[in-house]
Amino acid sequence: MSDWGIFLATYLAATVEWVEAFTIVLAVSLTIGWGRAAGAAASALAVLAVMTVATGGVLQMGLQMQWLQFVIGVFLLLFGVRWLAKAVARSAGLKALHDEQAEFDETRHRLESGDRHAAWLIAFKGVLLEGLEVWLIVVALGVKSSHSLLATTAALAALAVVALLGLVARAPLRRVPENAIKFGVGAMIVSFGTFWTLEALGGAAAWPLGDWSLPLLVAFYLAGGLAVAAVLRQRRAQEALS
Amino acid sequence: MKALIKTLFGDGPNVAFVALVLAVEGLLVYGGHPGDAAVAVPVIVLGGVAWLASH
Repeated sequence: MSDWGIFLATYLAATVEWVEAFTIVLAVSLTIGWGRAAGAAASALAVLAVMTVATGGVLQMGLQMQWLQFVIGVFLLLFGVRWLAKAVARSAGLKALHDEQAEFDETRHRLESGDRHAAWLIAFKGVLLEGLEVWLIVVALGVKSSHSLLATTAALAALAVVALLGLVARAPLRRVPENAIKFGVGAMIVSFGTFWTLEALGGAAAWPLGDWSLPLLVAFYLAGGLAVAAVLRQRRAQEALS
Repeated sequence: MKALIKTLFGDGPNVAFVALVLAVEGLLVYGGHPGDAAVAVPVIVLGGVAWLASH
């Protein structure tokens, strides 16, 4: 996959996670103010930055490239399969679409009974947990392809755009087409996971078309995912009628 | 801790399914059919995605 593929996959995945993190920080800021809420977010981002540098270094030092590729591929499969399945379920109407306004209201409700220290922790934990998925993708795509800087730049660019839009809007970012992004990113991440785990086990013989297999895999998972969603939607409609 | 583990690995069915995919990859590759794995594995993965989405 080209540099642009890695940049795009990281940027889009990070955008989805940062939007969710921003919603939590925004809700907390209404209780403890922007300064403290931003401080909590910055602390979580600092932890994520340290984790990114540390894990990238450890992974490159401790494992042969074949097993590094396998481990990263496994994590991408774990992550991508989950995202793609959720996107298919949401597209088929089997699972409610993620609602940033509902998330915002729920966080505000939780904060009503808590103290300021608890509010700070909610913002810190929210950014850390949402950011963990960004960390996973940055490390996985960056380390394997020796493009850690590119993947990190994509994640930071997504953070800057989301923060800027969020600060201008001062409201949950509801117009981000989250499920469409998750569909696309899920397909890309599953493709990387499939390609790397199989190549790690079987060598070059596993993929006769070499790197050209990757865009074909992305197309297969996208088209297949859409077809599965259509079938599940139709089955749901038939069950509702009977 | 539970939220951390779920964020990194997903839930039980997700982990079990990926383990199954890896087992199939291993069987096909070490059984001398790496080329077949390139066709079979994506189909199995998509089937698993459909199953996870509907459960």
